[in-house]
Amino acid sequence: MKIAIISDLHSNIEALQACLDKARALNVEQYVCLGDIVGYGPDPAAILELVTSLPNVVVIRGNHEEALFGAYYKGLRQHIQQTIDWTKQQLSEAQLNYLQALPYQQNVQGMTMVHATADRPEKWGYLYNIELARKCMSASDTKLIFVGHTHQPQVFYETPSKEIKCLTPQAGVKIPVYQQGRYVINVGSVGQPRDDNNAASFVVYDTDERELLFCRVAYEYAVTAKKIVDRGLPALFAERLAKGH
Amino acid sequence: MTDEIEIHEVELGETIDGFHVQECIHESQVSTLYRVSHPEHDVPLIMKVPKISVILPSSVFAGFETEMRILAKLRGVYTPRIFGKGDLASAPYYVMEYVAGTELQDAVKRGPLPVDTICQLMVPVCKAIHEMHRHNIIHLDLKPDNIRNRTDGHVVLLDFGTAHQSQLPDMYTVAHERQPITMDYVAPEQLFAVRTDSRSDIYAIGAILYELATGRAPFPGANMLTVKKRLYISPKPPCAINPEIPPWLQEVILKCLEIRPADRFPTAKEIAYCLAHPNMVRLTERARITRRPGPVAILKNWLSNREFNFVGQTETQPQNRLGTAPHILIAVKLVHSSEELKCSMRDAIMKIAMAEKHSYFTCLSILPKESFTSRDSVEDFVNLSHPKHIQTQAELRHWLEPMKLAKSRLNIQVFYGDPAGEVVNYANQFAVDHIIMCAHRSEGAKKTVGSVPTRVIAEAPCSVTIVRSRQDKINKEQ
Repeated sequence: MKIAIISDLHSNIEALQACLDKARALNVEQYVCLGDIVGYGPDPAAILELVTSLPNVVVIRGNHEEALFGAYYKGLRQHIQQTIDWTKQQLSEAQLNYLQALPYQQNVQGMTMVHATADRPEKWGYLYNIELARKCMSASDTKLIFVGHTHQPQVFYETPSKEIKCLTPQAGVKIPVYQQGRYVINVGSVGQPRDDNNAASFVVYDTDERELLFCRVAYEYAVTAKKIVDRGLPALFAERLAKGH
Repeated sequence: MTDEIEIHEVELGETIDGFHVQECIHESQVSTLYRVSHPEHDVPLIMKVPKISVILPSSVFAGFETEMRILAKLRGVYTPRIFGKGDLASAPYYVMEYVAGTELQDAVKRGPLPVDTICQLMVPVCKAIHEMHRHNIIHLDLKPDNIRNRTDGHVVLLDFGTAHQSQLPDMYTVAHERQPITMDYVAPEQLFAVRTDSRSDIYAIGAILYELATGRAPFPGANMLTVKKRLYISPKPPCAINPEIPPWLQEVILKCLEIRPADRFPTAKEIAYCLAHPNMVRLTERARITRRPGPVAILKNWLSNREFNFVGQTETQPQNRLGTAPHILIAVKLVHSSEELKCSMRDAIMKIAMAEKHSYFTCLSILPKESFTSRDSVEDFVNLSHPKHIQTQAELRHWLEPMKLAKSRLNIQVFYGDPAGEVVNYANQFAVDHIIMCAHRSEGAKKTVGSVPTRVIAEAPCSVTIVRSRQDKINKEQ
């Protein structure tokens, strides 16, 4: 069975649609969304509708969903707060209720799905090095942990001798999930990549072949960028779509 | 947490997924090999089963899985073909073709061997290793025992248990190091656990060449205690053991065995090229030395390599390194080419020569059978002494002279036979990266060689550029 894991969509419906086309072509049967569906981008209501319509979809809470409701909002910079306020106005009450009920973490077919890290997920820590990957693995009892949040695709894996190594995945190269290894897989960002590559990023995991496929999909970011500016959202969020960082 | 592995104990006489287990043919510390048969596969097959027990590190199993995945990725061109595999959690095994030929293993035992025999054996081995590097796979345990051949002579590389694939997770761990690795072929940087440099395999090629040429290993009797000597002591020059070894072969062998990876050949295809074209080997001090460097040089080596950071040198993926010294094949037939076309061709070659500073060129002209009269002696032609052969070589050299390419970058070859077939064969044999050839204008030429570019484009293993002269095209239209 093929599962697509998407994260950090950030209201970028053009990027998501391009990713879904690719996922369908790969015969994906289930979707997991690791959160941050909203924030930064111009289409929060439409993208949430699209996400919830995906087959067998499991959705996890991201920090941008948390910011719609909790104290987390207060710690954000002003221009991000401005986007959160605008996003809240675009969503229906039912949609807000749906987002408020999202879990921090969920087990899907024996795999941990979490937005930032399995190590105290509600703290929204950034997992960017081997030590943090070790803490994440220690906090979970599954072989595979899928995360997002940093917007940078990465694979941390533990060898049989408990050494943790890091791999920067290449798009289109299938990465085997070894019987004897444990993995923390950062799937990158659909709607706002930050690894100097402006193509949308997501992962397809083939549970039969036990292989991860990192996908990069080019999309018309200029359309999204124009919408951001037209809707009065900070221009910075439009500019970074082209740069990919 | 990690899954518990249930070991399926394979028994003689049982049938697993259609494979009938016939006999145990080899047992090592980490795996067992069984001869098996299958009603749908009419080739000799063997089943490899990992040993999993509490006394063996679990990384042994990771090595088994690494090998299985690499063999599946390489699809059996230079590796054994895979015919089946079991579920890793419940019945870990895979079935591959049995490759019986032990030509290289046998040859090493007969060493020292004549130079021609060494080249004949090692050119295809280098080609196989080059193809493996093309897939970003570094073997790290190359030795004659792991290089076999099919009945058609095709070289097959075995035992990828400690191999590294630069785009994939590397499950190699300290525990792996307990596995026996033959010290005779281990590169200096491997002693620092460097696993990401394809030039470690180049060192192993050098060690095998050394053994074939001298009848002994570069560092005989190396073990865990003495192996570090190779960080500062060069091997005894091969000609000091076997005076029959020509300087060019000593140059090739010692260049492969350089202590620092950057001083070795960057790719295996360049070694294959040198072995097949000895006149192209650029001779240095290595070719001339007759004895090992003295104590002062050893001390100097020890001091400099003591500080040398082997670990920090190797982030280039093998595939990227392969592109740094492209081998360009210029397929040309001057007799059918106008002056304009010859100029256009030279321009195209010069652009590549300037853009790719480490590129090297083979200029190949094929004389078709039609140009050969019954009075000519085939033997003269084969021996490269036929007047037509000599004349064609002179014309090619004259045509190429304005480009001022260094002697070591340009090799001129004149063959006799089917033009397209010979060009494609050469490109296959020497891992050519790019073919440049002319589009001819004359109708006569079209009848005889006009189909050559079409066939080369269809059959070549690499990119093909067809050069056309704009003036020729205008002249033809007028």
